[in-house]
Amino acid sequence: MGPYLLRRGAGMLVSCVLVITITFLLMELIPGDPAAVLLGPDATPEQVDALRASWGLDRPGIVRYGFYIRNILRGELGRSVFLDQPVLKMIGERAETSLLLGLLSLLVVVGLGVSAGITAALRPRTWTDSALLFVALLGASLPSFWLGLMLMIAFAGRLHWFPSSGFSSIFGAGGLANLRNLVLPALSLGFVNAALVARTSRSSMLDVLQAEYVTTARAKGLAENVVIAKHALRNAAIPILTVVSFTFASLVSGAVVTENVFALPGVGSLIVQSVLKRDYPTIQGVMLAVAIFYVLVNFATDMLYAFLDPRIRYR
Amino acid sequence: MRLRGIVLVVVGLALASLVVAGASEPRYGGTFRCAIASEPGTLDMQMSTGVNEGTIACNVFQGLFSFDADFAPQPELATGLELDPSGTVATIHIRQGVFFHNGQEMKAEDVVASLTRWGQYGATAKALWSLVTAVNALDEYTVVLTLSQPFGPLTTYLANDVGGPFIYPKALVEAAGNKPLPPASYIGTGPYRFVEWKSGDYILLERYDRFVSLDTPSSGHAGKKAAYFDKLQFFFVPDDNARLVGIQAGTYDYVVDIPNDLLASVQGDKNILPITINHPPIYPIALVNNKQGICTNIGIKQAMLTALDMSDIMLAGYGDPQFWSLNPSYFAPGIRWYTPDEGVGLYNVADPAKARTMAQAAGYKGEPIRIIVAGDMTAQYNQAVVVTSQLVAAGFNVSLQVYDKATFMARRNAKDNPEWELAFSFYSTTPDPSLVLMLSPTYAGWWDSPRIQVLRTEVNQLTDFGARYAKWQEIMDLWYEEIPALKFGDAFQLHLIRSDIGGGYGTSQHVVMIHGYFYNLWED
Repeated sequence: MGPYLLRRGAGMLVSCVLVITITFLLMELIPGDPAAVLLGPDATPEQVDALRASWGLDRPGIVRYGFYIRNILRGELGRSVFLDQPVLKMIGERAETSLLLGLLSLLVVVGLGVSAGITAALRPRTWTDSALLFVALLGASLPSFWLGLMLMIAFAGRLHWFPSSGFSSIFGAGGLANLRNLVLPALSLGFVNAALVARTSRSSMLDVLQAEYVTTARAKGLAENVVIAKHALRNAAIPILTVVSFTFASLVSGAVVTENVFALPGVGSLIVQSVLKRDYPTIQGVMLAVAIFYVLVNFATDMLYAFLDPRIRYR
Repeated sequence: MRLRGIVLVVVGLALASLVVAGASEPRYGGTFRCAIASEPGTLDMQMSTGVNEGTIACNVFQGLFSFDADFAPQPELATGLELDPSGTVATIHIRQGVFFHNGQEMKAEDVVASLTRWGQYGATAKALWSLVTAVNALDEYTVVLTLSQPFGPLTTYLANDVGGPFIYPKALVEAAGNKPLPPASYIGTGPYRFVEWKSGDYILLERYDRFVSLDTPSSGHAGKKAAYFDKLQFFFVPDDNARLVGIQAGTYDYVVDIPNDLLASVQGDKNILPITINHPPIYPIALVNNKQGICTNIGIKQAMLTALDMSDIMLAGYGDPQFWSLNPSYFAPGIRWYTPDEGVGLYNVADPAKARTMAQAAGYKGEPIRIIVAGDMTAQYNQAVVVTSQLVAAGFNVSLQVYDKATFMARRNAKDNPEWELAFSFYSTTPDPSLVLMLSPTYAGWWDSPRIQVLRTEVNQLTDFGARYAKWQEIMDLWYEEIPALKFGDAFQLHLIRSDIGGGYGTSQHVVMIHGYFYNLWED
């Protein structure tokens, strides 16, 4: 296990360096700079140049890259040029929204997707199977922003059951009741992403249910629910887990459209806003954080593989 | 029974008139929740010219002067300004007993430091500060500004609230230098103080209890300011529909920049009042690259103007005609610099055949007309599409290039080698012609013909309004001769406010200026 962890750690380091470098190069290649955005459309070029210089943006790219790497090695991700806040603090503030949204959406994804997939697999080529496949196709086809808007208009605008937008920390005023703000976005994200999980669960379960050891289990006289839960589902779980884990990672870091529609202060919208404003330190910091998050989710998934299938061993 | 009915009708009408006039009694308390379309870059309004930024910042910061509802400068932190007979030495007396939000009293040294920083780095200081030879504190409450020559719009510059000289504590402006003030340094003298900026979520202000208001009648940003709401909270809600549903659901009290075609969604909703911001409007425009390329040929620019059907262009950008009007003048009717006789026979000609002939006569041989626009500026993008088709119909070889806003800004401002002929944008009302950026030789478009060089100097040197207005008319005549930019019309933005907000927001009682302000409003 030790050598394996070392190898994974080294791989993670390489991934992060690549992400930092590619992000830096991309930002160098695209036009635009934060000074022009901050000063507004009426700023004169002289003002823009002066502000760029005060931020050190007039230095050669390689020099700025060197400074950035040096700061990372010191544990600093820099400060947002707009808010003059540490990037790490900004990521921390946004991470709560994104993680909670990701977890709530995951509940919807797993609850709807896995149960629909298993149900469809248990009744292949029946009316139930066709109906569930149709709903899954519908889910995969719906744009999440459209579904989000419809949910918002119905449940916030008309029925007033949920707030229309925004989110405040569950550790502040309002406490856990603030989770109400995430119900509609989680439903819209979850429904759309559940479609893929449902289809994966169905096909994986169908494969397993035709395996000889399932037939053997049934022949032994085991109850059907035991056969499904203990023998079939556990063996079908690895492909499902793969899809669910990557869905979770993308729900946390890439729910840009939904965050935009529901005005949620999440990591996805931070990336987009930072890119649009050319807030270089924030872009680089968030991309690094997202890369680390993906690597960790990947690592956790590998560990879960071993838990689900004792034949898998990491050396 | 009949008498009772009449009484009910009379009482009902009286109540309705109270509601319409926003004449409910002011009361303190509550939080005013406003949804704006994007997160500001900074609240340091010396540095920024953004409207979103100003909508928040003008509740926190004040200048020496401020504009009343007619855009006339009125004393704010100053009690007055005296000019010596030469017109070059301005003595500014500042109010005593005005406290910054850090509890420190505002003194002349703060004013000197703020003016000095604004003069060096401020967004709109250049024309004035190029004439300033000294700024000194005469005593604790008197500042002397010395100029090399008279400057007609001096108080207008000191009142400017878009990139203007807001007054901050000396220590903070000296620490900031040419960088924007960090949020921790948002210390002003206004009725609300800055509390918190939660990135991606909101900015929170709360009433400043030591705020000392003027007691002159409220008018625009000038006069009495009362902070009735305990808190003002500005949420960043980029999605248009989310802002609309948010006010319908009661999540927000006020939402800005609702697409005009969504007005029907709230018509008949007694809880929401639509506000059409037509005084002042915004002015959609295509900047013209006057520096290099095909558009240095005035004949070709005149041909392009002749090709344009402004009604179609405005319709594409702003929809229902109740949200726009055709106006060739730089300023809108109702602004004192409005020039009603401008552009006759030149604006909105919409004659592609004539334009084609004019272009050929001017020597046009199919050189590309590169139009750049930011795709996320929807109205501008829609207008660019229509202008492209109209110019193509007149025989121009047009290439429409769409970018994100930051890229667009970078390309637009690339003064050394601007790779565009038309750049789609809009401008806001400025209180004085000397603040019109398109007259500046360093502003995108780079209009710097020999005649405009003379006229822009003259308009700043004159002090009499009548003489300055006549000079402005000359500039406008030159505008339609040299076509430094293509102005399409006046556009009105749609904002929505909950009907239980008292204070007559958007009426003559509370005129929305270049950016909104939320003192003198209360919850009914």
